[in-house]
Order: sequence, then structure tokens, then C-alpha cells
Amino acid sequence: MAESLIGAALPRFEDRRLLTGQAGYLADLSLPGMLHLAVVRSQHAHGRLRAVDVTAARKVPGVVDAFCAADIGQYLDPIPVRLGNRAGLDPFLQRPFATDRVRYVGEPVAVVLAEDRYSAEDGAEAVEVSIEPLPAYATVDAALVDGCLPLFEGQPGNLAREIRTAKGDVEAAFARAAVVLEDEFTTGRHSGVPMETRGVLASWDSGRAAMSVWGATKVPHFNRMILSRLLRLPEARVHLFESEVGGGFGVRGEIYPEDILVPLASMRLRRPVKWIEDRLEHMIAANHSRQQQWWARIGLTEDGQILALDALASNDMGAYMRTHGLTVPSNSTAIFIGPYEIPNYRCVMRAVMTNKTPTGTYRAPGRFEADFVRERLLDLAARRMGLDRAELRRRNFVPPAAMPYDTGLTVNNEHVVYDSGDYAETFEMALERAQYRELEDSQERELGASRRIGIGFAPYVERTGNGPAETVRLALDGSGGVRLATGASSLGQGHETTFAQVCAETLGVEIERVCVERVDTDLLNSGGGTFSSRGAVVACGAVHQAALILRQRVLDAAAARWEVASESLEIQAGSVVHAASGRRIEIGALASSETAYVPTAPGFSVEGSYQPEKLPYTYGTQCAVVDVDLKTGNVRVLRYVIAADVGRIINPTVVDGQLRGAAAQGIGGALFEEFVYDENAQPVATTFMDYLVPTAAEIPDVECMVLENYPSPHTPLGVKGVGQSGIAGTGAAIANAVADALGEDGGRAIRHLPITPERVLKAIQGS
Amino acid sequence: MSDRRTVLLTVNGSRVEREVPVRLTLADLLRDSLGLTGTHLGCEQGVCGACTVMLDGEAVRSCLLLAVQAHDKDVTTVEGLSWGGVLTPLQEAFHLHHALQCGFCTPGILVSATAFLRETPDPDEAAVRDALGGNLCRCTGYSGIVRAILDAAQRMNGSTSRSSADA
Amino acid sequence: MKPPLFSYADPESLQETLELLAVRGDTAKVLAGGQSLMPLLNFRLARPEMIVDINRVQELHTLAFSDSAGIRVGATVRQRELERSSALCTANPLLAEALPLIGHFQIRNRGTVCGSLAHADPASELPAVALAVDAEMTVVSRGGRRIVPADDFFVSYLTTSLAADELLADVSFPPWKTQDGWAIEELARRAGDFALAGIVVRLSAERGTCAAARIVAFGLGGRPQRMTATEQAMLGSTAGEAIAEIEQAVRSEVESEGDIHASAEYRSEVAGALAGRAVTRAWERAIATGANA
Repeated sequence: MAESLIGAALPRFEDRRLLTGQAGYLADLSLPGMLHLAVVRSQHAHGRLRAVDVTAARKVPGVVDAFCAADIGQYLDPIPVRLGNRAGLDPFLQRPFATDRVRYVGEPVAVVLAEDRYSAEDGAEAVEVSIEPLPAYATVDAALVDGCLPLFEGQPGNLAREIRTAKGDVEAAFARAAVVLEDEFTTGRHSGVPMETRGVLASWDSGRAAMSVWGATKVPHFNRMILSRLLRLPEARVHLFESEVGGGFGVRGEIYPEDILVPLASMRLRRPVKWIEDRLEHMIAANHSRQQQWWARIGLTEDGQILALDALASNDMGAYMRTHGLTVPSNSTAIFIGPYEIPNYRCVMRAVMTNKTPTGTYRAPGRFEADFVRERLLDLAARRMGLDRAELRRRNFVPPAAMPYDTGLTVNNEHVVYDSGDYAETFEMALERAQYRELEDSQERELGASRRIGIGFAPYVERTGNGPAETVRLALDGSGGVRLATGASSLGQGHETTFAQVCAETLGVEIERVCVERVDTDLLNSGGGTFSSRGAVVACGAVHQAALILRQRVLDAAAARWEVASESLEIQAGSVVHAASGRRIEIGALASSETAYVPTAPGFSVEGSYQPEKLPYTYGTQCAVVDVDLKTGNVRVLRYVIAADVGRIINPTVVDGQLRGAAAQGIGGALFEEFVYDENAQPVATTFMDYLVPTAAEIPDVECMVLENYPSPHTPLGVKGVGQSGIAGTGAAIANAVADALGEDGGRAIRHLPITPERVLKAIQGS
Repeated sequence: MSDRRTVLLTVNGSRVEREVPVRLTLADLLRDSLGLTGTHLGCEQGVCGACTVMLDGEAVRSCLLLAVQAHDKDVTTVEGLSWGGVLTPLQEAFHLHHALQCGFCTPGILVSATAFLRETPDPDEAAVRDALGGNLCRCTGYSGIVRAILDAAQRMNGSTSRSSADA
Repeated sequence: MKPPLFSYADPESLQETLELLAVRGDTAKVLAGGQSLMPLLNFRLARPEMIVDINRVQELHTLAFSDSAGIRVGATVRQRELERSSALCTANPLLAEALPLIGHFQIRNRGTVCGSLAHADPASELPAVALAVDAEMTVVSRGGRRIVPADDFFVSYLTTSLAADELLADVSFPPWKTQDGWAIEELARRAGDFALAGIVVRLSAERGTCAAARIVAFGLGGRPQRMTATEQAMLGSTAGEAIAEIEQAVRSEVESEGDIHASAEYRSEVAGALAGRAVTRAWERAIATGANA
């Protein structure tokens, strides 16, 4: 029997090179003759681009070339939308360079190529850009004012799309509801902000007319297709390679303008070109996210049963429609009802263009926001009714008996059906661990003269395993090694280890034999990518499929050799065993050819693909205990508890790490992080002194309880994804805790993230 | 007052000599000129800590030092923390406690923690969290890192760990 | 974010340094710890023609403790060197409490005490402490030497009274009066960040009432501010019991500016609250240590 690797808390194979400084991130790579690229970016939020003059730049010492839109005419096709319903979105797409208009501070207008980055920046400063300013719209409200200038010529305004989702009859439901409550909420603009900034290394081989690009991640095969189209090269001549990646969180890996410009520069100059984004650029050029404003209304019976949920919301899209299209706002409308039975629902969500950095997905995209609004609204409703906040949830959870639970919603042609689970189970676990009852019953919340404790929670349900099929190729060589190639790139979450665990256990070999390759689009014809908590679900599903196929191939080879039925054979610890006769053979020996010229026989390279027919939904509850300084408004998170059911755990250490890391980012978004813009749509938070990523001093030790009680019926291993769970309810849990500390009156004002000390003090003083 | 200088320094125990532009940062000397790419650049402002190295035994930001300032000095980078492929107790502890995911912040944290533990060999959890304030991590949520440092301290001293968190 | 071109000099004597500043001072910047200047260079917000690196000037590296003269800290003494001096706790407990609040230990390993004073960021702790203890700055140039009291040294946002050809050679913190109570309180978004508001208090008690008080507010914009009206009002009072009045007095007396992190009103409000806390702690210490009632 193969040792049970699925479920084992194996320390990761990746670690050694990361711990000793031997890992090669994009900035660490180098090719002979390489040039460094710097991007010249618009300093205006909105304007007509009159002229770009690179003459002076070209003369700066160390600079080899500089070019702009005028120099690359045929390569200015817009970057298309990758996800979701694309109809009507073409007018809002971004080209690699601004052509006649700039629409956000940070938009690329030119590039400079030099022998080193220092000289490239010298050159960038010498590029003369002439922009005639236009009125800039810094907010959704400003961008929707009647008669304001549309960002895109020919468009009636800046509303790109209005997404409507509904079921039942909300108006009738509100009419008979005993309790109706409405309020407004906002979530501030923030994003993944990985520690490694973006980068691209491209090398054009003019001899073979082939383009190699490093820095690919997230969706390498899709990106290869887009690159080949925009660079007008055959897909077979575009090769994307993954390097070590310093975090993605949904932000890294989509096609950005620089992903086109860097390869273009390499083609133009016939030298490898490297661009490493600096932090200042990252803060204004990599996708932002999360900025939404909501009006929401809830109607309940006098027993606290939710009858109806109604919302009008807007998602600040920024200046261009990026590859995610309308994914973020659609996700919000789909998840807003959360883990509850809500018979009547209506959500109108507006996607609005503004003169700010374009937005895209960030961990639990659109869902962090919607979960915040819903759970805040529920706490407010409970207070209004004088009902215990936990009791209100209990009366509305979808019960296990109702699973699979069809929400009745169809968003983006996807039917939202929760597959399995007991939401109340994780809920009670989290509350018990956080000592909710004790705190709630205790009148003594004071910590000294001017500090109070508050406790808040947020149940959530998270969609996982989304997206196209994943493919895995497994190849067994004559020396018994197993190579695994996949399109699911790693951004730091341990794929090298978890994929090997699934492969080794399914195949019946020791884990040391399995070598998980770095993603290389040449290794596989088709690949899906890493996003939307797919790794454990889709990629591991494909690993499992491929391993089953390879296993059968090996058994068949042994069966033929020994003239027995393959059903009578097993693979144990890397050898095929025929129990009845005791015969055994090392799998490598089976795969060896008879001739020395061909060390590995043909037929031992297999491909397996997988895509869940229906999506698994992971779920849980997060609970926060905070300490609020009533005289300064400062909030400290004392405890953070997560109880989550992930269906089946492949590596508990990795799962734990994902939950904690996500929760830390969630706390960041709840209390600290915001991309602030002034009234002229100029970004103000562009450095780490202004955009506040929390440190170890601000994040408590997150307490995680992870269950496997409700495997998904839809996945071969029963896994549900976990990557985004830890952040789904964080905004809500923290806000509910702060509101709890402030009491009835002060708490009501806590409806806007991030919850800064100033906002808290205002809430206290306003009451 | 030329704009290039020759610097002579010791890096991870080896003497090196390079002729550099005076505006070259120490981080870029290490990474580009010496090929020691384990030291990472995350902000070039001194806030994120990814570039932390030891200069004459003190943890400093290599993005805020000019290479010429390292003349006659002793620099240790993450590559110089361990020898002969043997992980230090701190690196082992990081591995066991899942104190890293993407690994980008890890070298800066290892150097900072090494310096910290030299000065404070028996810290409690609060002291460790405070000492980590100068290193940002986006992946782990810090718990594993804190545990690893406390565990390493214990191994290196044989003293009882004063962690208040459960294992 | 790479620095722009500049020429570089690393003199080994004070005389050479002052010679350079006399000739090139207008377009040169002094580099000591670099923790403030290097980010400005990396952002290309500072574009000096010349960097004068004073780290090799031995004469500037003095650190002396004396009962009669207090603490003298030369221009290249690191914040960490002062922080770790065993004599510091008794020589100046206020400094001992303030230093660990500055940034993080990696920053303090390079950043200098004088550098922080010369940079004069309004949210820094050291300028406020210097003002609270009547520190004196030794300012030198080729033309001579002058002593500048802290109050005259800090002019406004990132601006001191240093002329282009002058160098802050050292700072003297007067001998600490053992009967003084002290405290520093600040509100920062994260540990080690610049303060949104901060208060430094030094006071003494005689026969149970406040005999002398120094309250300095920082982080509010501009320069560290002495709350002279509040100080006056505290004299003769039982400061420990007059907290609410002190908070209100500071709230009204401070002049705050707003920025991305906090509005002016919020800063003033918090300055008041912090003053209450700082005075409470300082008073307890004064009563405890200055036992000659």
C-alpha cells in the first residue's frame, strides 16, 4: 500500500532553494546582451496625448533606443478580455501604449531601452510628453454625472455595464416583511500587492522567428495565445516560461501592456529585454481592486427569517477593462446571498469607468466586498430587532439536508449551486473557540479607562475550482523517474509538493520520484492556470486523472510481460507486484526500452485532464476579537479565528498557511490598506509608507480549525479549494467586531472600509 | 570626484573588488555585479526589508546604501548564512514551521532574525513580533515565521521557549 | 527607482568636509545614515550634484556621557549605538524611551541621531525630544562654529536653520535632572511608522504640585511644537489630577495639518488624548523619583 501522502503535512520541496537564496525570480535572470527597459507613464489622470518626443531620450548615455505608439503602429491591438461575458466591452479595452488619450496616472506612453536600469531611468526622464488635460473623474459618482465627458469616444457615458441578478419578488416580500432595514456601505480600493513586483524578460530569436518570454504565471497558455495574436506570431513560436514567483493573489499573471511592450522591444532591437517594475510603478500600474459602494436593504419576518435582500451597487473599474472583464462585479452579485436561504433577491451592479488605475481580481474578488456588506447588514438587522447576532444567522443558514442547494441564481451563464456542507457546524466551532457567548454575556468589555473589546464574525461560502480544464502530462522514464508538467503555475502556494503528493499516492510510488516541472508552455499543449482556488480542485484533479492513466499503462505493460490480468496487479512503492506469484518489477524497468539507443520505451507519457462539471463551494466562519482605543480610535486585533471545511485536505500545513496568509491580507484590507486618490484622480498612496501592509506586530496568530466533514461530490478527491477562504469574510468580521466594541450608536457608522482610527473616532464622537 | 570608484570588500567571507558607478546601490552590487541574487528588492525605500543584509554584523537595508559605502566592510547575505549546503537551525525551523510560501521576503527575514537572535537569544513572542516589524510578508500571515524564530532560539540555547501560542 | 547621477566625495577630516560644503554646499547633500536621503535619491526627489559622505570623518564619531555635560552625540553616531549604550537609561531616560520607537532596528543600525535632527521630519521623535530637553546643536562651517538651541534649530517642515555650507557636527543633551518625570506617547498606524500625533513630556514636581513642565507635540505637521500655554497652566497644579484640562488645553493649542493618513482635526484630538496619557505617566515618575516633596 502506498503510504498515505494525501493528507500528509509534508514540509515543502520548494523550501531549500528559497531559504538559501538560490531561487531565480524574474529579476534574478539574465541573458547575454540583455537590455533594460523603463516605462514612461502618464502623469495626468485624463488628457489628450498630443505628442511624445523621444529624441532627447535616445541621446542619454547608456540609452540604446526609445519608442512610443507612433513607432509600433501595427502592434497596437487592444488586450482582450479573458473571462466572462465579453459582449460590449471592446470599446473599453486598453492598448499597449496610449495613442490619442491618456486615462489614468501610470498609463504607458513610451519605453526606453538602456544598458542598465539606472540609465533607462535617466532616459525616461528625458522623454518629452505633451498632454492637454481633460477633466478627471476620481469617483464613480463623478464619472456618472449627467453630461460629464465619457472616457471613451462614442460611448454615451462611463457606465460600462449594468449587471442585474434577481430571483423571486423582492417588492412583494418587503411589503410583508415585519422588519426592513437599509443602509450604505463602501469598500476601499486596495489590492494584492505581492512582495515581488511584476517583471518580464523577453528574448527574440530572429533566426528562428521565435519569442521566448519569462515571467509568465497564472494563465501561461492563455497568455501565450494572446501574445502570439498581438505580436502577430504563430502560437507555436511563442514560448512562455515560469520563473520563481513572489506571490500573485490574482494580480500578477494577467496580460498587461508591459507584457506586449517588452517582447516588442526585443523584436525591435534583436536583443533580450528585461523590465522589472519598481514599487512606485506597481502601486499605479498593477491591477487595483475592491472599490465598491453599496446601498443594500434587507427584509425579515419578526422571527428573523430573511425574506428579501435588495441591493444597488457600483464597482469602480478604473480607466480600462482589463482581462477579467466584469468578473469582479459579477462575483459580487452571485455571492451576496452567502450561506443563507434567501427566497427573494435583487442586485443591480454597475461597472463604472473612472480615471484611475484599472482594476481586476484580487483574492476572493468581488466576494470580500459582498460578504462585508451582507454580514454588516445582518448585524445591523440583529441589533434593530434586539435579536442575538448569532441566532439571526442560525435561523437562516442553508441546512445540510438542503444540499445540493440551488440558489436559483444564474450569473455569467453559471448556475450557482452549493454542493455540500453544514454551515452551522463551522459557525458554532468558530464562535465557541472565540468565546463569543462569554464575551457577549459579559457586561465587562472595558479594558482600562478608555478601551473596549468587541467581537464580530462572518460566515461565508466561497466558490472554488472555477475556470477551464487543467491538463497534466506525466512521463515515466527508464530510470523510474516521473515528470509532471502542468499549466497550473505556482505563485508560492506549494504546488511542487502538493501535486507530487497526489501523483505519488495515486500512482503508488515514493514521492521522491516525482519531479514537478516549472511551467513551460512547450511542455503541454493545453493548460488552464492558477486562479480561483483551482490548484487543489482542478490541477490536482488532472494530476489524479493522469496518474490513473499512467498507472493503468504501467499495469498493462506488466500484465503483458507476465501474461496475467492487469486487475491482479498493484503498484507498491514504485514496483508492480503480482500478489499471487510474488513477482515484482520496478516501474522504471518496465518503461526501459530493450535497446540502448532508446532509453525509455514509447507509450509512457500520458496526459490527463480534468474540469469539475459542477463547482465545489468551500465555506466557514471567521471571528475577530478587537480592542478599540476609544480616545484615538485605534483598533488592535487581539484574536482571529477561522473554522473552515475544505472537503479534503491534501497538505494540512499548506492549507493552514493559505488561511493565515489570506486572513492577514483581509485584516490589511479591513483596517490599513487603501489606494487613495485626490479629487484630480492623482494617486496619493504610492509607497509602502502610505499604502500600509500590516506587519507581524499588527496580525495576531490566526487560529485555524480545518474540517474534512463535507467532501465535494463533484471532485474525484473530494477537495474543495482553500486559497481564497481566509480572506472572504475578513472585512465583515473585523467591521462587526469594531461596531460591537462601539455599541449601538457608534457602531452603526462602521460601514466603510478601511476602518481607520479617524473613522472610528468620528463614529464614537458622532454618537 | 570621479563618478566611478573601486570598492574592495568582503562578501560572505570572500574578498571582492569591483569598479562601480558611485550611484550604484549596495543591493545592486550584490545582485548584478556579484550574482548574489538572494537579496531581493521590494521597495527601494527601506520599508519592506526584503533587501536586508549584514554590514559589519549589523542588519541594514542594502537598498539604502551605496556600494561605495561598503568599501573595507564585511557584508553577509542570505547566501552566506549557511555553509556547505547545511541549513542553519533558523533555516531548518523555517522549513518545519512553514514560515515561507513564495519565499521573496524570506532572505531579508532570515538575515534580520539572525541578527536579532544574536542580540536577543531568548526572546518572547512579543519581542519577536516587534523585531519583525521591519519585514513585510504578504503570503504567510507571520505565524509560521514567529514560531520558527522562537523554535530556533530554543534549539540554539536549549532554553525553554516562551511562546504563548499553541504549536 | 534608481538614484540620478551625482558626484561623490567621502572626506576623512572635518576640515575637508567643511571645505567641500563651503564651495559646493548649495548643490550638495550630506550623507550620514542615509535612511532619509537614500529614499529621496531613489525616488529622484532629491537631485544633488554632489553627495558628501561624512561616515569616514572620525572626529564626528564621538559619543560622550558626563554627569556635568550630559550626552554629546557626534554626527555619525548611529541611533542604535546610543540606544544600546548602557549609560543611556540613567543619563537620559526620555531618550531611552524614544529611540526604540524610531522605525525598525535595521533603520536605526544606520540612521544617525544628528541625521534625524538635521532632516527635521515633523513626525520624528528625536526633534521633539531635543526640544523637550533643551538640547543644543553644534553647527560648524568653514567660517566657524555656533551653538543653536533646539527651539531655534527647527524651523518648519524638513527645514532647519542650517545654511547650505553648514554641518550639524553634534548635539548635546543637557544633564538629566533626576527628579524629572518623563514620557513619550505616540499614535502610529503600525509599529515603527511615523507618528500621526505624538507628545513628549518632561516635568518636575515640588511639594506635590507641578514645578516645571515641558510639553512638545509632534507629528502634526511643520515642526515640533512646544505647548507653552499648556505648560504655563500646569504650573502649580496637581498635574496628575488635571488630566482632562491638560487634554483640552493641548487640543486647542496645537496647530495641525492634514494629509493622507489623518485630518488636522483628528490629529489635534489625538494630541490631546496622548497628552493626557503622557502627563499621567510623567507625573507618576516625577512623584516617584523626585521624592523631595
